[in-house]
Amino acid sequence: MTPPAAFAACVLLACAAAAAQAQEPDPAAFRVEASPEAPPPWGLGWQTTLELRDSRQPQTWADAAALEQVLDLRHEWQPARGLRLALSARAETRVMPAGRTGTGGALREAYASAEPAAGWFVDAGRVNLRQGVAQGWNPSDWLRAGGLGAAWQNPAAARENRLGAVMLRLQRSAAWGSAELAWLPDLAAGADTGLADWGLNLERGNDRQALFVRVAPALGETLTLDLGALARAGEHPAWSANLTALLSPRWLALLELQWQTLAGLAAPDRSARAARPRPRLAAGANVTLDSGAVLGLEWHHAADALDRGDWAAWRSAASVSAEGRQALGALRAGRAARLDPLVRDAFYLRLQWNDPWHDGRHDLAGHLRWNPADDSRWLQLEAAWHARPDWSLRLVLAGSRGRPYSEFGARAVRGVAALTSDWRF
Amino acid sequence: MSENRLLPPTRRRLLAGLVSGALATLGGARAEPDPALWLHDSDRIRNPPGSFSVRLQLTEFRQRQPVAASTLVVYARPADDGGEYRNLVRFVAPARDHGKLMLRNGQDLWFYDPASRASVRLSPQQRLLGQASNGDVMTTQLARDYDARWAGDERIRDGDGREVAAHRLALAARRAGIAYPGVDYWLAVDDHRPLMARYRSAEGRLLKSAWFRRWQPVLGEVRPTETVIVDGLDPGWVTVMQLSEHTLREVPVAWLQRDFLPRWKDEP
Repeated sequence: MTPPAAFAACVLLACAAAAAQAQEPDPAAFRVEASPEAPPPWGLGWQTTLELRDSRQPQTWADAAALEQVLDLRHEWQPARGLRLALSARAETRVMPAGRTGTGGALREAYASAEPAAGWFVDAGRVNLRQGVAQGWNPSDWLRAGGLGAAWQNPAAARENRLGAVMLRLQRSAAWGSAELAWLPDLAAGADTGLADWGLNLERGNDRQALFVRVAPALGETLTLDLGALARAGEHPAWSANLTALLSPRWLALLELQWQTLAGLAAPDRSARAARPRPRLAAGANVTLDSGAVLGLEWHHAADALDRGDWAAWRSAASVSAEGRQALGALRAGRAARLDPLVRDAFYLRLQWNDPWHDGRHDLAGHLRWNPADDSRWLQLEAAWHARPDWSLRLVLAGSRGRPYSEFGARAVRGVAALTSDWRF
Repeated sequence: MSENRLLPPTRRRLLAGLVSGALATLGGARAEPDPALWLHDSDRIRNPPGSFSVRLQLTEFRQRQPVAASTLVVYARPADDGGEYRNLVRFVAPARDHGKLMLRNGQDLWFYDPASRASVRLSPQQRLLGQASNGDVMTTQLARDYDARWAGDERIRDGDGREVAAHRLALAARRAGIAYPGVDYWLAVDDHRPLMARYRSAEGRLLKSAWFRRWQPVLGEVRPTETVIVDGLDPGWVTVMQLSEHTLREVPVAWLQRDFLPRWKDEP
């Protein structure tokens, strides 16, 4: 480097250093007065949602709009050391301009939990017991069918409203990890699986007696593993494994696996495929981007669901006869009620971007489901504005695309827009 | 072959000790800088001994204007094999986040939302971008995880704007997986209290700067009860973290399991 060039470079470097120094704020300028701590919230929430639906059937504006109000309660008490009582419930009204009004309520959880010895816990009552490391679908979450019916495809929102199952559970938590054993009594054998407006809906988790066991050893910082087994009356035993692996500070891989002897779905003109061990799995990875957004992709596979050929046969049958459409509708409803996939392979893409503008007031999210067998899709976009510490506004836009009788193209609702006011106190 | 290699290792160390001792005697008793010891002193001032809990009140500023506030309680237990604490962060405020938990056992991180009863594993990068990672600034025993090199003495402005004589240390993480692979650290010359730190990525990129201030007697030691944190990429994003309710307490390992998260209460 020639002397003038070196001099110029030094001047530029000095200017850059000075600029960098100037950019850094003076910490002494930031003063905060200690403020009194607000009392903890009671666990109540009041949500008001204005919803507009675009249906595939002809509709009027009055049919398309709905106003929903939800009063939500989640509270825990600790009446004595080592004893905890938990209650989670909601009540809702839904008003449509066309004149139809509905009310309903759900007791999601109500249980007592005791710690008779350090690290030993006993729970009795209705408990929301869930497992699974995947985000879009949890094949190892055997009680997933307890969810309240929802048109939304955001799995997190669906999980918030699921009903628990009545059980007696023993859990041990220690330095080596944890283990649990749960017994679910038969409280609603033969009951209708439709949701009653104000009923306990015990058939959602207690239609058969079941025994559940799970072990989660502490393996270290990179790998996590838990193994589970379920024995339920009238079913073959089911086995599960959940695995996560940290690939780098940004990348996280996950695998959720379930094995059970199941009959397989077949084409409409054939009987169900013979029962044999059929895996269900969700495998994928998440990456955290520089922006702070988290992008996740999952592959969902259910060996008992329809393969491409059989799914094409179902769609073809539905396109030519009313009986075919009726049979397909029943099949779809049955699989949806149990949160079982209709087709063998599917993909789920998720984008979660919390606080994108670093102001603590906004969150963004997107969910995309894709059925590669018929190329139908469901896309949902969400934006939340936390206007106050106890009040948020949420906007959700969702829509489906697909040919007639495809998985998402056949949905009665083509698109939804909803604005929700969420007040916590 | 040199003579040194003919001597057994124990005799070599003995000989080296005798020689250095003699040189020290000849040269006078002047103390050599000991950055590892300074760092140890600083850790003792910053962290209460053993397991503890502390309440953090965070106020975020954007372009000098306060935009958000949150409150966390951190339960910290020294890790058996390193200087980073195993900790559990409980979100107290705002109301929409009340009851949420974040568990950290090194690189094994879990976030628990009581509304969905779901625990979700996070990547370390995801945590670094959130406010909960600011708690790490206060719960790290640097002397156990970093090699310290004295980079000279200089006068700096502390968090209150006063000029202070400081030792500058360059810290390099001893093992992979440490949240901040490099740290520039300034300690007061007189008592080795921490004044300021710049936390860096493995590539040397500035992640955050921190100034320690508002010194008060806490659990038998005068400790910083306020930290000003400036984001490395966006200097207009400033967080003031106020610490209170320091409590020495047992934090059992059983609490630091992901399956324990649904059972966590304010006072388990």
